Amino acid sequence: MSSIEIDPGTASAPDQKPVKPVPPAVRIARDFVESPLAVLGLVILLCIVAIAILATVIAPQNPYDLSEIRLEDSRQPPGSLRMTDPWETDLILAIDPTTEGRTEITFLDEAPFDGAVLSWTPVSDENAVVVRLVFDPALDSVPLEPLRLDELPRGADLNVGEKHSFRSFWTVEPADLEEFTISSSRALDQPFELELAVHGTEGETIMTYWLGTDGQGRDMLSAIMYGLRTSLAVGVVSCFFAMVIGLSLGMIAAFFGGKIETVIMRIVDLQLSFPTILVALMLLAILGSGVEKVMLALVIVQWAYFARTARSVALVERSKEYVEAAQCLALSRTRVIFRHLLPNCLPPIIVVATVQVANAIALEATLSFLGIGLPVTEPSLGLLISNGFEYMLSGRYWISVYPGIALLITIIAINLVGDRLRDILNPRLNR
Amino acid sequence: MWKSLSAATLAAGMVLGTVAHAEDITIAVASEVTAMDPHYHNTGNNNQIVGLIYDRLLHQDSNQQLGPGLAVEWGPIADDVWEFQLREGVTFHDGSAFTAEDVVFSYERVPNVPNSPSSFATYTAGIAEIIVVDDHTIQFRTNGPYPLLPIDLSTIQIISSENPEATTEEFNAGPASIGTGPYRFVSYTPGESIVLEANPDYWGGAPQFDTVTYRPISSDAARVAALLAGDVDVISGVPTSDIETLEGNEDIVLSQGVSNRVIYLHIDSRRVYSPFVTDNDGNQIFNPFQDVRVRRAISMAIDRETIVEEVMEGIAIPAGQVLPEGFFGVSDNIEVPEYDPEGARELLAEAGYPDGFRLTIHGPNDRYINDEQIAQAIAQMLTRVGIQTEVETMPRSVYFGRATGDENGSEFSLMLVGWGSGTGEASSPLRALLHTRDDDTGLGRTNRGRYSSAAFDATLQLALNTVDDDLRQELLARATEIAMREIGLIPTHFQVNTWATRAGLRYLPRTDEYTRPTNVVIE
Repeated sequence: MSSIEIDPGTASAPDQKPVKPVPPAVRIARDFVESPLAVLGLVILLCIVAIAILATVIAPQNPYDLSEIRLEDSRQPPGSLRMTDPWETDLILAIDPTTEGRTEITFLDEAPFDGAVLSWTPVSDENAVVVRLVFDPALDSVPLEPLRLDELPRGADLNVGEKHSFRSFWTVEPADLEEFTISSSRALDQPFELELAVHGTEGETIMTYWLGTDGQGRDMLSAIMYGLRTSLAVGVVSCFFAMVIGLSLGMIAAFFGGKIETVIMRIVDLQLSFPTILVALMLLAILGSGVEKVMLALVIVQWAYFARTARSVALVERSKEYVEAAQCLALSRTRVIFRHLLPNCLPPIIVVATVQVANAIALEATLSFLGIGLPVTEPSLGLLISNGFEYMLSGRYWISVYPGIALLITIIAINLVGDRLRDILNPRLNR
Repeated sequence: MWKSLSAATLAAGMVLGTVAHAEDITIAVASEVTAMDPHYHNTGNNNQIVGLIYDRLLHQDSNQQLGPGLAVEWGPIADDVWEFQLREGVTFHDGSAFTAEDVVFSYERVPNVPNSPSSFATYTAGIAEIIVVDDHTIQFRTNGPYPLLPIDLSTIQIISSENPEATTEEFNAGPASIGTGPYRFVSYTPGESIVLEANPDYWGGAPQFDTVTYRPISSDAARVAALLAGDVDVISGVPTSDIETLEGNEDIVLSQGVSNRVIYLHIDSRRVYSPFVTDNDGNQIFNPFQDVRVRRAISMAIDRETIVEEVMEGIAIPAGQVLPEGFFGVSDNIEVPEYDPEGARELLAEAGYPDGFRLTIHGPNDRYINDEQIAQAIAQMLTRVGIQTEVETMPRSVYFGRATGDENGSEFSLMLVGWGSGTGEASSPLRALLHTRDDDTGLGRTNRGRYSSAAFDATLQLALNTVDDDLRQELLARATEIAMREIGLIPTHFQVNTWATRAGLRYLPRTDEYTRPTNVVIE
């Protein structure tokens, strides 16, 4: 481990030994590739980072743009297609039940019909009228959504189809329209207008929802890519700032000792005695929601880990000869701390940092799962999982499971890399 | 022969009777009560439970039709005087007799409950004087003709006058929770359960369950899971996404009913600046909702059919007014507004917003069926017509206070809310949501958007003073038409409620959304 202690500022002094010292980075890299699992983790992690960075380019949809997602496509299973709007036409069928009648209907819109003929005959002595509606070409030659017939006169019944259990419309089969009877408990003596909604099923395919869609019609694949982006950004950025703050305070504590150390380390103890999730929840309750606020909350709950590690490492390093030597050279305090002490404290900090990135991502997901943190229209992985959770009983597993897998893989990959780094950088485990 | 047959029938009846009476029932509901004090908070969650411990002068049935309760006969004896004959021989759970004094005491207590988040005072404000004729006859003198008095009084629980100083805390703890109702108070553990036991001396006959336990389970999935596991017998608020799966389950019985609850958007339409409206660069602009064209554009931009079909999975009814078809005072002339994004964009341009503006819609996330998803869906639709909309949802404990705001108005600009008509007719939402806010009369107390229209107010006031039912119905419909034409609020849909029971039980739906053991049928 001596090579790691070589201070970049002093290592340039010519050495008598003929062997050229291996730069630490190269040695670490060499050690790292010895573990295939760690390499796999690193490769996966790099892929995830690439996906996250390129999400805006490679995602099939921008899941945060409300005008791009379609409510009509909500909760579609994996592999469904996004289509253009199919044609739809709402026919008004004006009927005067007191006399016989016939009207021709022409279609102005894109509906695939040349025309239709509506005719009706009142049934004598009964409050009923027989209605015939014939389409050209025949209605059942065209793929249709279930037909809806609405606006029946009050108290009226149909002899075909089925009335919705609590809404006013009837669902009828295409063949039923060729002849059906409207009968009523009241006198049918006023003209009335029925409304028939004819909706086609076919549009043109725009894209495939490979992983299905969520409750708002968001493409899950895109949402996961964007979610990874948010999760990684939140994890890395909050960890970086937590590290900067924690490292500085930890080293100051170790270097100066005395009252400064006591104050800093008691704050650290205080901070670590609270459950992180509780502190984060309280902070977000005060701060409100938003990405920056989640990051701030994560920095506040995480810096203490770095501070404690930094202090313990710095305490050990501080008593070593090279620090003494540096001090004997009358180098400034700042220089000793930042040029000599700091680089030698870094290895354990790097290990803590990798673990904490994974923790931060998990914590952000937890906060989002609990419904605080990021806005609902810009879901991160945790929020996606939480949104999908309510659909689990109904068998729409994909809304929750796929983001869950993405989160799992990310955290495992980071941990694999972190574990290996710890093995390499921990002198006690060194063979 | 005849005798033995009838004896056999009687015996069978007794056997059935004992079976039925030996039952206990556990009901899981989504929301917890805020108090056991029956006059503290006018909200369905509380009313459904306290209404079992107490009676009202008149009772509303499952369709909110009035029937006798503690009063057996009632009617106006002059334009402004109503007389109620009270039921004789009724005793409170502590054994004391029910008399007119209890009625007077209850109504006098209503406006004086401290810290009430939503008072019942609206329903007693019209009473000028209460005259006790004898122990079982009582008269109400009202300020002018007041045809809604019986309906309004059917919302107020009658408590015992034995304990005049009872505080809300004493009701929660139990000693003050003394009523005349079919069930007696046993315990209330906040967050855990409310336990009631049968009142065998109930004037309407002993109830069918010995013990009733209400458990609040706010998570939809957990509530369904509790029913599937057999922990509870009845659940309310079955999530729409689970209905299809549960329909195929033989151990579960579903029942469904249209409610009196409209889900709607309140729009901040009076203030010069609205807190959550900016131009596309984030700068404050004059409140665009003052312009009726902008309000109409928002209504046109909302695809109600898609909300019902996709977000509610078909379990709702698109709405164009404040109560569904068939209720008293509903207008036949109002259609559900057509979805017309092109028209909405044109109207926005005409009103001076060709590029739209920025907006945040607020909503609760634990109050109405799929509330958070509805808010997001509306945001999606508004964004499509050029109004860049963000969504912020929050728990109802925070949400409603902020939505109501203070005398300066709501903290929000566009908010998703719901209103169940406690009286089962149109005047309840019209009075509370659309009348110009007036703290003296209690009208417009929940008018969060501060819509104000002289024509509407006058028509509604006329309706409230009209004794003739047909004419009142007509006037209420006219008032509704005015408010809907001026987009005083934007209705989206009527809730349809789903209850699930274990096999062997069936729930008879109520339009007021209450979940009560008295509506459970043993099969």
